[in-house]
Amino acid sequence: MLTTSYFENAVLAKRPYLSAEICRAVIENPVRKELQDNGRIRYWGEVILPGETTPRIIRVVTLADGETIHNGFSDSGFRRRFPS
Amino acid sequence: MKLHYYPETDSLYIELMEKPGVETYEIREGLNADVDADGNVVGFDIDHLAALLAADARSSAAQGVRHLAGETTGVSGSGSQVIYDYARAFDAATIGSGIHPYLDAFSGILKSDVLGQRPRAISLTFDDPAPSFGAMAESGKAMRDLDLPA
Repeated sequence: MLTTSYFENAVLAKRPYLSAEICRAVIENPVRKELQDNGRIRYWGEVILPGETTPRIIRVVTLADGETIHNGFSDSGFRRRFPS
Repeated sequence: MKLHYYPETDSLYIELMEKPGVETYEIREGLNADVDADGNVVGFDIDHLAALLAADARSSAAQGVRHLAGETTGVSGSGSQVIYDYARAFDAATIGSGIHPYLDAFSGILKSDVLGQRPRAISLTFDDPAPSFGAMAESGKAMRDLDLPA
């Protein structure tokens, strides 16, 4: 699984609820996908994190190749921006 | 406070507190704030730092604040105000040169030969406590420059 140094060292350290596997699951089954102006791709997916019962929206950003995981976080604003 | 910069992807993480985040708020595209379980901002996640530093800071700052002001209506608790304060301060820090020593330091790195050595990461630790951001937020200059809502 391809990841950037930023993801491995900064993102995972600060967001221990995340893992590369969780991010990969989001990429493979997104509820929304957008191309950023800088060519990177953002995905949103609904995930129930370990130890939790309520699903969260996780945003994952890959490099332009759509494979290399660069960023990820629990996106608190998703439902306000994209109400279903 | 620690700053970690990854040249390969032009990514900067500003670690205000050595605590994990449980939720993330997007202040504007490429600028996210991590908060802990109590709603305290524990760090900023910045994508494309070079672009941020090179941008028209004044307009982007005002835009970011207005965007955030709208966002806060959907966020409950004191955390939203904390994020607002920090974001306001952060945007103030991007205005001009010589205002904020931390970003100045990174701006200098981006212009130096350090990047030519292709480091995987650059980390700096500052003794100054993170609340210096808060002090910036309260300054009259920041308020005036950012055209903040009353």
